[in-house]
Amino acid sequence: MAMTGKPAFRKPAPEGVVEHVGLGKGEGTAMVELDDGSLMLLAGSDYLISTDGGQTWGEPQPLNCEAMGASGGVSCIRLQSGTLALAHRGKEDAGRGTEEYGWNPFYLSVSEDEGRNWSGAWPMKLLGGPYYDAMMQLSSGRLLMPSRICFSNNQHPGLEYERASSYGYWKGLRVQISGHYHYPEIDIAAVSYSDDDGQTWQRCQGQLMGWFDAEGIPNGRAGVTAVDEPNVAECADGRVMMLARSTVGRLVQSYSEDGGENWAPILPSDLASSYSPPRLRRIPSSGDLLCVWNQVSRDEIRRGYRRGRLSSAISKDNGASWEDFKTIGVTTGIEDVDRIPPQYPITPVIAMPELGTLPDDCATFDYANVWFVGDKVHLMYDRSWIEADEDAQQAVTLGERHGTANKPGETVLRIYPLEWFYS
Amino acid sequence: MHLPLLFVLSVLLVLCLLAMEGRAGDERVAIGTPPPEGVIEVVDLGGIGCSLVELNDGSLMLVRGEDYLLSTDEGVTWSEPQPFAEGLSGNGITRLASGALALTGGPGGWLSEDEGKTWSPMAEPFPRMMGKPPAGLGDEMIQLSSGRLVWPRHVGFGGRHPELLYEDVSAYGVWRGQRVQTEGHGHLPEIYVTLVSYSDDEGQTWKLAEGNHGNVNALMGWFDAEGLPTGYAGVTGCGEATVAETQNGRILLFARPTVNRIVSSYSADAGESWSAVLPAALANSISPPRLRRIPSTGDLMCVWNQVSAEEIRRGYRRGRLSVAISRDSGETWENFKTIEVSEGLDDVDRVPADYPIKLVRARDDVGQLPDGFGYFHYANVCFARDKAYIMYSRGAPSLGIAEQNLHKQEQVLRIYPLEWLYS
Repeated sequence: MAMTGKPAFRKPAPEGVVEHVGLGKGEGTAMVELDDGSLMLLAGSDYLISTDGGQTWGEPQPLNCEAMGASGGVSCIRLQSGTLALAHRGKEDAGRGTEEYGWNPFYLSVSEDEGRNWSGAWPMKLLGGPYYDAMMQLSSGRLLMPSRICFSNNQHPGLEYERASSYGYWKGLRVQISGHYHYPEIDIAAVSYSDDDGQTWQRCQGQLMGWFDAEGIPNGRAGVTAVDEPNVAECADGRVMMLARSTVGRLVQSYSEDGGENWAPILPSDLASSYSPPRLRRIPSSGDLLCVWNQVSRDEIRRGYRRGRLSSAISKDNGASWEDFKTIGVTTGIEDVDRIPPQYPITPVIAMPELGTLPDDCATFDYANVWFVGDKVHLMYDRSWIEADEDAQQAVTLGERHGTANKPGETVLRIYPLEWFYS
Repeated sequence: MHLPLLFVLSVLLVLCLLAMEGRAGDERVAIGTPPPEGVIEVVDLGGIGCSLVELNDGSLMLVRGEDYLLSTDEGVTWSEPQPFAEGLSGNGITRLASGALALTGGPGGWLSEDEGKTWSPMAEPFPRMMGKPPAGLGDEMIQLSSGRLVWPRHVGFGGRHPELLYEDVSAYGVWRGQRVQTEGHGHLPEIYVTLVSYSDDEGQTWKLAEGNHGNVNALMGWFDAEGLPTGYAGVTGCGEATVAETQNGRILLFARPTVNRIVSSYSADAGESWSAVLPAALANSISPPRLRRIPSTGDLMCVWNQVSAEEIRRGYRRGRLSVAISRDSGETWENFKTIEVSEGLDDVDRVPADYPIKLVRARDDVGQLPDGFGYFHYANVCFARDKAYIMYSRGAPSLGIAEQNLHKQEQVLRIYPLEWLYS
């Protein structure tokens, strides 16, 4: 199979920013700073150590967590007590016969020896499953873990996944670009919390779903919309903010004023987005919020570029407004701008069925994660492109098809000075 | 004043006061529509959550949860309730092709080879979620002519937000001088999706209708205000589903929506895959329909809350209980009849289905309600010989809001000659 090379990306790492390619595996990756100042990066069922702040990394070592099953979706944080906490799937094969309809149950294990050994495996009783590395600890000591459950039907006659997807042409080859929400699909979120460092968990009141109209008023007049891959962060004013992926051309948000037990109705945020996951973090040194997400317009989504721009922004007022918009990665085919104004109507938007010819350097940037180490921001994300299987005369997709093991792409870790995000 | 007239007025006043006293003191309020000639009505024996079947000796067995009753005169008189054995209960009873009786309810069902004397458990058709099985209308399981069992149930989610508390957002009216809550559903975030399970060995093993990669294929509304399956109007509910085998060899599914029509899907492959959920041409509120195949003719029969959008807005979402017949596998409906109608609504047989197809709910304040304001809902229909046994619940504001206190409402069993349905 002859492949063409990966494209020249338009946004190389800025000066002073270290870039690693191929570390870890995107989803399922978390990072903690160890007591000796080294960094531990979880990557699948392994971990890597850096003793120079991420400049160089050791060889992968197996994670010694007996209770851990499939590696997807893990979270790992250091608790205020000093213990490391790892949220992971159990070993049981969920199948369809489990309580969570195909979601492997999650457990919380802890390490008292800096990640060498893990024990506990306390059931977390999540609704469905979490977005990866979404667990966090509030200043009160409470642990929060947002999660969601998803239902879909991609086999309705006439609306089958392959048939309903969007397609374009790349170097003359037909390529599938996106399929999510081209068929019925809904994601419902909830937040679980623990007040005993993860030994017992409870779930918030009710479940979270979009129930707002095209103007963003929560009145149920426009059906229910997705709250997927939710993230939470503690605001400077003590509230907890949730940001989540949705179908409506924006990220959606909610707040809790009581540490995650009750949540306000889900509303659209002012951040334009496709149906793609954001990463929301509190910046430890300032208490401001940082969001990294796929900032795209409704028109860019329709044209097939739903993950063609990866952006960051800062909120200094607890998520009420966002500033310091920056573009981390952007594909050929859309403009290299820092800000995409949020648009109306706030209704589901998907790519057109036929996208026409796509640029040769078409790429996507998605599934970002962020960690803070000293005055550095470690930003990890996936980037993908299209390649040609010239023997088969077909394009290898950048779409989201499951099981596409040979989907061309790589995981990028960039280490930015924190001030870059404020500049 | 003219003495005889004064006397008449006084008598009338006393009679009115007595009548009101009787009504106010007794929760049994004279509401609804008396049964037509030739139709027998039995009150407070069985209604919501009941089902009946003809036994081999010609008697009828009516199951109503944890007990059952027998009738040897086609339902006119009934035995004292007989409790099922401990741990056994059901709200559906079906004669299977094998001759066994299937009692369904709770997480699954039981089979009896000896006309209900002893029972053995069937396998559970659905995985449990959050510790409990999916919910349903009751008596949901049917057997196809092929022998396959088909069982729809739903999983539901709801928001509970401090800003949108049930009591605060519900609709209220004034009935006999008192402020009464008339509905809450539709006034806060809510979604339910239907799952279908099937068995080819009379319940010993079950398989869920699945899509790609083993994902459960769920049924949800994904149509716009015109009824086109575009996703542009978000996702709407499809729950409390009821299924029937049609003459053209399909299975038709009707379900409770969160829009102003019954929602519908069909399976052309015996329940393994289902068409996109679409609005039917039957006006409805957020209330469950019941769909049945009439055994003697193969036609379909539906009993449901046939109300217009404006009637829903005025607070009458369950103020009319209607029945209709389809002779063409659900394509069109005819022989519309009104079984019960509340004071305040026109006693009409047919209410045209409205556009736009979207959430319709009562106004926050529905104003003055008539004394005879009633609601009629959660119907079941069973057939034995030449009779249709329609069971439902009948209530008035004195018994509370329709969606609460179901056990307090009047339970109604009506026995209709089949020809009445066709007349």
